Amino acid sequence: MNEKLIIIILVQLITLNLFAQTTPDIENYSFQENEKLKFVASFYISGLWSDVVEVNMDVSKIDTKSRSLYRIKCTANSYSKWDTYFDIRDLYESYVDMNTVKPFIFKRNIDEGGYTKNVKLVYKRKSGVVNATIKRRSGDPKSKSVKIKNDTYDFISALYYLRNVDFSEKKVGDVVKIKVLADSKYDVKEIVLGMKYLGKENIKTEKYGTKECYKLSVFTNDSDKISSANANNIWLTADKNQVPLLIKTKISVGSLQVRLTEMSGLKN
Amino acid sequence: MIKTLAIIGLTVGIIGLILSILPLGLIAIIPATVGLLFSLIALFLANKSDMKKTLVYAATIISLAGIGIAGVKELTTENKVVDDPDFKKKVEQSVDEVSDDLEDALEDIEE
Repeated sequence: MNEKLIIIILVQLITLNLFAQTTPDIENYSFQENEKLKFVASFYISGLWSDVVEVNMDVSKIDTKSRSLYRIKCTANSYSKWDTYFDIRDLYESYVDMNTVKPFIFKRNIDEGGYTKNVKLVYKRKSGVVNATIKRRSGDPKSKSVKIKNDTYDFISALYYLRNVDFSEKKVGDVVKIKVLADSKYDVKEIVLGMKYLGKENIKTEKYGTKECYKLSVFTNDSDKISSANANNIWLTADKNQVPLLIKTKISVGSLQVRLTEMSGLKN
Repeated sequence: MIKTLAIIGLTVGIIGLILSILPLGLIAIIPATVGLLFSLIALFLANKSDMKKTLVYAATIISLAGIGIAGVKELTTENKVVDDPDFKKKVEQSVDEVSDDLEDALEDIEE
């Protein structure tokens, strides 16, 4: 009984330690203004992949009164053959610092088969808070303040942060942790995304041939979100751009795959 | 026996036909082929007997139609995104909508 208790306490301590660590600052070397990435998202049903959504990720420069920022825009549009049954028009945006990729504003405006949700997160880093505004369907918008640390990102900036982690220096099994804000219904909370480096793998692409990639397994400390290790993997090109080439995740009704089909304006 | 095979062929063939109309790519080929297989076995056995072949023919035609529609759609349908001016406008306007919030966020780190 005592041994079991000690093991449980040790596991808890290790887990707490794993997720309590801060996300180290990075210097952006992997992307620049005018970078455009195009992806195709497919569902795996009955042994076959079916293309459903086109995803575009663009980086542009925004000038404000005090400084220039990157606007990382991610749009998801369902293919015309699906529109009659379930149309998707999603817009995700992150306004980030050009060097550290830390976000100032994150927006998520989704319209999926008539279900709409608008989320806006305004990061006030000196005050250590994020002002969140969430509006679902035709309901009234609700606002909330969430306390954050200086190393909290959103899902879009987290992906671009990940592109700036030098995996050439990582060993297999190393974990990179990124704190992100995740929303559910009218709530916003900080979760920790863990990315376990699984080594290098060659991935075939339709347009760019075979590319050597860093394979990462994505997990989180939040049981509501994607959580189990090895169920969600991401492959980043093993070069200075570290472009996400392939993302695979298991969902309740099969699998989802996002693969890169076009890229332009790369920094390196 | 022949009737059972034909009914299975017809049922699976109808599933294939329905799936071939939906935008699921080649998934419809699987049930439609199974339906065709059962229908052809039923047809082979029916040819040796003098029973009515209406049900067998129906199962065969429906299964073939499922395979045909799924195949033609796969060859002719291109992955294309609809040009949605409302969505485009929404994406463009989004930058202007955040300009005040952006200044607030930037002031909060620079004070």
